Amino acid sequence: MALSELPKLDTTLDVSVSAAGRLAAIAAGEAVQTELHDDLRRETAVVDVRGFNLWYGPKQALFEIHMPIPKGRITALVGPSGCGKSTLLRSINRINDLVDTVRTTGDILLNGESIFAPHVDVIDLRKRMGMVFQKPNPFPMSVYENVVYPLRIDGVRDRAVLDEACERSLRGAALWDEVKDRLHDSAMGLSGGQQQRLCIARAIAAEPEVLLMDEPCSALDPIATNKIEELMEGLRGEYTIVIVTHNMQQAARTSDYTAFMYLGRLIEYGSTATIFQQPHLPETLAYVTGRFG
Amino acid sequence: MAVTCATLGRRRAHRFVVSNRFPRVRASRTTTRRVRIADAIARWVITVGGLATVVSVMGVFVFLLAVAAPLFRPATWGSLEPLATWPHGAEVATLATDESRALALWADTQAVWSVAPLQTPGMPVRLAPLEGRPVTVLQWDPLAGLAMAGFSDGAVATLRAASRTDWHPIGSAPEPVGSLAVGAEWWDGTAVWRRVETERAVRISFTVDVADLAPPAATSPVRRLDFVSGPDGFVQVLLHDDGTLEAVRVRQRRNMLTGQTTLFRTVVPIAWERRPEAGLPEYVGLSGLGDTLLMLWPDGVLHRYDVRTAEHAQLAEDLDVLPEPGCRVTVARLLLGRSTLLVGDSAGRISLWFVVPVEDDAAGARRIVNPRRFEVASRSPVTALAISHRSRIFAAGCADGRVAVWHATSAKQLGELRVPVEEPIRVLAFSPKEDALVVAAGERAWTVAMRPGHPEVSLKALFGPVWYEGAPHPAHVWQSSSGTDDFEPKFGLMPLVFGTVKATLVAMVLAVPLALLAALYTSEFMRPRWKAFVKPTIELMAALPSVVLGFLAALVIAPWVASHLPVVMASFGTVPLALILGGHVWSLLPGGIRLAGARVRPFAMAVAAFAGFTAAAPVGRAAERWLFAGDVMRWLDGQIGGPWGGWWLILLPAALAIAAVVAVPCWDRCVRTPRAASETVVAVLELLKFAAVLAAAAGLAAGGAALLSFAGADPRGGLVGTYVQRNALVVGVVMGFAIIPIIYTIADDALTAVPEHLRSASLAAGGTNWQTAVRIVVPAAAGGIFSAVMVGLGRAVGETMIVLMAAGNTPIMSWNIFNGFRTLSANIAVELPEAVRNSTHYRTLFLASLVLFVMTFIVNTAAEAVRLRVRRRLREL
Repeated sequence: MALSELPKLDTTLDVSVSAAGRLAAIAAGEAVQTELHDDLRRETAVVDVRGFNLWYGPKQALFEIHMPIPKGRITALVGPSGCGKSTLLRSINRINDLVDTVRTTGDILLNGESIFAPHVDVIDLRKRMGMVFQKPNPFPMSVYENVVYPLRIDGVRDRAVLDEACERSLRGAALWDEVKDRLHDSAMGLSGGQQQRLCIARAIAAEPEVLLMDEPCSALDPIATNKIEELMEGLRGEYTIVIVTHNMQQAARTSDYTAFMYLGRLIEYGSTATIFQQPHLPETLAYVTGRFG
Repeated sequence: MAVTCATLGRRRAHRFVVSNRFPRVRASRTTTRRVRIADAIARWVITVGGLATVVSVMGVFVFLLAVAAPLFRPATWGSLEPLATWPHGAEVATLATDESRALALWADTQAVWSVAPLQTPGMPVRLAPLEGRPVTVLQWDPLAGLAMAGFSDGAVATLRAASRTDWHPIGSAPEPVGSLAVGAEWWDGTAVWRRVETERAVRISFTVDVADLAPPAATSPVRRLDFVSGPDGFVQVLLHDDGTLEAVRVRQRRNMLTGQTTLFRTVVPIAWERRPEAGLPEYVGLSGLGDTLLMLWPDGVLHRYDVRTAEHAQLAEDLDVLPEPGCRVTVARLLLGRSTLLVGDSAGRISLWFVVPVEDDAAGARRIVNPRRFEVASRSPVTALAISHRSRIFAAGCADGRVAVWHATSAKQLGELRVPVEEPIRVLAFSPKEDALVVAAGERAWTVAMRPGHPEVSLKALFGPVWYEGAPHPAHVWQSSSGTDDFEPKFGLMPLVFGTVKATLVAMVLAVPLALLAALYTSEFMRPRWKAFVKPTIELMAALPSVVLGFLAALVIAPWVASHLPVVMASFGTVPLALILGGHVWSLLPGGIRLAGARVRPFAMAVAAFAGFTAAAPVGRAAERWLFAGDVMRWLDGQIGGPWGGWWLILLPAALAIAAVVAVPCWDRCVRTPRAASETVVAVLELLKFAAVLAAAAGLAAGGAALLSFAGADPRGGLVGTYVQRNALVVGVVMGFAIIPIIYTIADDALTAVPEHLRSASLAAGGTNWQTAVRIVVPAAAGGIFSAVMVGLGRAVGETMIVLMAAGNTPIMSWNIFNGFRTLSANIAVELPEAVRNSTHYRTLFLASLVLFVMTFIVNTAAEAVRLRVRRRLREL
């Protein structure tokens, strides 16, 4: 190490020490103020999480989350395992409702309307969002039927509409060229990466307002991961995408905004460039540089 | 201490370096001996247990097979043993042996009996009870111990001709008996002595004495004579030389004080149609209970007279029993039971004839039919016929010295023998126990030991229709026993297989939809907390012993259903209808109330179901009035009403299905739901759609029913018919109760096993719970559901106690769901305790259990195969 870098080392140590202190405070249950960057305020929020708390039985999993999700952008949720990224994501389309013991306070707005309002039909809510899960989960039916499933359950029977949606979605998911000759073969015969892109195709088939992706690449090999990332690049601007990831590089490469969560709290949220290069908080820096987590 | 620690520390460090990848915690890790032994024992026990299971199942199969297999074994024959003595040159009319096969007995045409030892040498003794009187005809029935002789003066004598067995201590027996070995015989000149034990011997003798000598009614010589004996007397038919035909009824009355028997005789002359060109008939036979008189001429003409009232005897039928011209009838005999006439001809054929009722004839008309014909391989003329006194076996002797033995009903040939001389068989007889055949040809005679096996059973007789004696047509019949001795057991398994299939079908039709829908509900819709209570409760239903269910079915449910049939039938419709309507009403509720009330939905459903049950009573009564002329029982019996109502009800489910498939898309095309329609509007439209489908189905069923009624079809006699209290419907409901838990549990497990991520994917795509369940979960669990149904089917096939107690156990083949049936399993349970070990009946019951075993084996194997395939498919998900 060159001598000239010594002051830098000193800074790093400083950051680490202060980060460790703050993280310990959070672990001890101290309330934290989310560091919300200003550039977010210039965006229109399609989903707005406001003071959201969530309990699994007696255990609180999310604490006072305030998080506007900008329209047409890719937002990455990062943080160590168990920090509540997936829970937050699954709260947005209320798929967490399926868990019997979940209790929430606070609110999540979709285009300014609460998704928890009593008159809201959760089925309609989910129809406005697509979701991609960690593990590829195609249905045990043909590729074609997988893609048009959201349309089928909406009662669409017109063959032309279905064919069009199928091709559009598969092209959108960069899978069309690989499967166009075997649309009516079982989806179970595709590779893991292809299956995951098929799931993305299914998620965008009904043209949702928001696309939620829960660690979509964690079960995939690097080549398949690369393809998914390219695909997200293609979807950028068209869809509002929220992606949970463990992979810092992926978050840095693909997202416009990054939110750092820790122990159920949203610590810092801002544009990806800022979060990865000059985060406002030492603990964020510590995490994105791989010093813990 | 410190030193040790340090050493240990060093050792640890050392090891760490050596095995730098797997740091060892302890110095040495070896699997202890005990663990190894336990492992070996466990492996051994598991292997043995698994193999033992396979072996015991195979063992059951092999055992059943071993007991049933002898049914198909052919009869076994001994070799021809020449008879020690035989009357040379005598005209033997009837040949017989006694029960214990010690004596050969024969009577010549002059009513002179000869008795000779069968096993030991000895001169025969002659018995001539009618010495001096000119006998013209003799008829001897060795089984009844009765003989009748006609004389040239027209008189008839009744004789008792029977063997008797007396037990003697060795001391009081003649001296030579004392030197006999046990089992050996000695002929004392008049009787056979057999030493049966060291201290006892039996004397087997034969006596003939005149019981009655009737005065002549007509003076012409008696030429033909036949008689049928009954418990209180007998009926005789006498044909005299001059053509006079008389029926004589003799009633015996025994004076209880003096012990004397008085005979009351009624003589009725019968007018008959003579055939001057052919003379007197060669054969005159009284069949059955003496109500049919058969006359047979050598040219094949058979006249049947109905003599139920001898005074009004009339020629009922006149037919030719010979299949082709140019041959002649050579010999005729009635088979055991005196209902079937065997006619042997000069072309080596034996044909079978019996009287059957004419079908659909209210007046009770009857006709004679020829169900079977047998042929001797050499086509040599038949010269002698012998019948067994135990079964429908008969033997035919031919002019070339061949003897063929058949079973008359199953048409199975038991064997063919040939005597060592090229001479016609003169006379033949079975021993009373059917264990030997006596054959006389030319101047010699032989006995041959035989074991007939199970001649009444053959694959064709078991599984095909058989034309039994007295039946109007071939049929599948199971009737293993009866009160009379000459009854023929009927072992057709098809009615039992049919009963099993009927029970299974009805139970499955009722249980499968209910069990599968319940499984779908608990696995996909019910809150886990509720499910944790509901599932064990349903599974507890399986713990109810089926005998309790059967008892409830037979003594509680069956009488109740019989008195409330319209209500019960109506509830099959009203309960689902009430639930569906309840669903519609629920969706009509304002959204807020609906969401808030989600928790009480199960209660709401219970209320709807209860409303359905309550509605069943008025609906049932109304249906009875409109569809079944006011009384469903009498309607079912065919006494009142037309077929329309029944057809309408039967066609309704199919019409509903068609309406659901056809009318729903039509409705969807015609009635466009406005995009911005409120939930209430949508709910009202859905309700209207449902009403429209119901109306369409009702109309469709009405149209179909009218069409079928117009075509003259009537459901009564087919799917429905006369109501019997213990019937398929009751069994179906109760057996459904028994198999629902099994189907439910397995199906619920299969549905629950569908990976959660598929459900999440569907829900996240905006699918409702119902869409997710029907489109994703059910297809993914299809194999498990199929397997559940198959296991339920296997249970239903093998279920015994419920069907035994509630099915009425009538082995009939009728699809009428209001009639009973008998299943294979119930039949085994009912009859095995009374079956004689190793008898045909016993072995046939084992065969029935083998059939049952194979049926359940196939069902369970298919279920397992599908289950494995699906498990493989699920693993890919």
